[in-house]
Amino acid sequence: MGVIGVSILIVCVCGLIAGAVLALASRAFAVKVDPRIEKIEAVLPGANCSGCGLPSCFLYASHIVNDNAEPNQCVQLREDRVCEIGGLLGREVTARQRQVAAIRCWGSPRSKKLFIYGGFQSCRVASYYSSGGNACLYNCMSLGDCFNICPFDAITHTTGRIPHIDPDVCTGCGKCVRECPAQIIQLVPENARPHIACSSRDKGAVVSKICPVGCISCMKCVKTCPQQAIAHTDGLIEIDYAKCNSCGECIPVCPRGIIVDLSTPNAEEALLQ
Amino acid sequence: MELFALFFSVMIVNNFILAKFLGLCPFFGVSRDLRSAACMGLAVTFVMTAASAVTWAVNDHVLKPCGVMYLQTMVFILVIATLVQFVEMVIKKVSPVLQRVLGIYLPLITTNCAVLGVCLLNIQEEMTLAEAVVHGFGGGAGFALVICMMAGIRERLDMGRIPVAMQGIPISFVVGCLMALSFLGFQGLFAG
Repeated sequence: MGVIGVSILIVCVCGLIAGAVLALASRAFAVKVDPRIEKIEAVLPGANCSGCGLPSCFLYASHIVNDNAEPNQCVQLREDRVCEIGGLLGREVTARQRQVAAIRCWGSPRSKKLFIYGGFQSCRVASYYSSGGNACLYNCMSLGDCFNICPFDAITHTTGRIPHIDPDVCTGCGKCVRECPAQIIQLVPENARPHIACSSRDKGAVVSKICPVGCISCMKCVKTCPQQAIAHTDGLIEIDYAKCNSCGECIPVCPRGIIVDLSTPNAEEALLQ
Repeated sequence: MELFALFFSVMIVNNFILAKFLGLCPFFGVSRDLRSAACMGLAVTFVMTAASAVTWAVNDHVLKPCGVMYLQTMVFILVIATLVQFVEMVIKKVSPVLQRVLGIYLPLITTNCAVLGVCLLNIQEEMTLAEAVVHGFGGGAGFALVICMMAGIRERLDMGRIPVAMQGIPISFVVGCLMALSFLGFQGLFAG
């Protein structure tokens, strides 16, 4: 047996021992995984968007199986898919109302500017410089942080214009809601009939000087709403969508025309004209 | 005392990334953010220490008596790959938390050249078992230190205004070079 024979023998023996060790170890250290977790993970969208509150789809799937969590927390799952998971689990599940993100400011291209911001092109940075030069502190800075964070390409954005969120693509994962430094993005039910396109907490006199389409807290919508679903708290008008029955009576009474029907196509363009 | 000097010499002066230019792929590939860089550094330290001990034993008890030292590279790759797979199984069973931290990084470094490099250097410089383990641990610690520094710098670079052509990897190469130059200043510190 020459040198070659010895080398081949030694490498073969090493390989065999290594293989045997791994084979034994995979037996000894096998972790029991519930097969349902894998099946549920296959139904989940796999985008790891963390809209359910957990960092990945796998963790959410194991949370559903191990901790009996509700499968309807996934923001992208349609009703039939939720029922499919219910079938895999063998228990009753209910789907929930789909939500989409909506920007509560449509006035920033026309609102008053204090100076022209030329710094780093990010809303987060601009927010440290007097809201990117805007007189209104609840203003969309239009630099596209929400566009950059969106994992589903639901947001289109050109600098200087307010980003547009496509309600058909938006899954309501809430990443843009958490990202927006001005905190003017809100999750609303799909096809929300009244949507208030301003999130200013300033007093009416201040708003009317700096923005043509800002809320001046005239309270007309609050008084009009037959369901008492609109409330004025801390200077901000908010709709309680649990009470709102989408009658739309608040839409025509707003003197600034900033209560809009999100379910009509091109609601945004209509407001901007 | 000698082990102490060896530890710092391999960690800082003869750093695996900046002085020996080993393990450069993770240095640029996994240094985008500090968290993953730290996890990678931890995994590499762990594997380098364990691999140093195991390959030293394999070399001393198998290759040397059989007189087939020329098979080092092949057998070491085999042993390191097995070791990493084995460790991953154990971690999966014993500590799910640690598995989440090291998880995806462990399989990545089975054939990392820094890991193989430290094992071959242990043999080349005829170290004892204790020296080999300290050498591996120091090398891993140095790797973790440098990759974390790189990640910190790159996180800051993201905020800076960099010419389009230099954004991302190109500027990281420049940063890597400057780091290597500055680490050259440690040369001769632990010359003993």
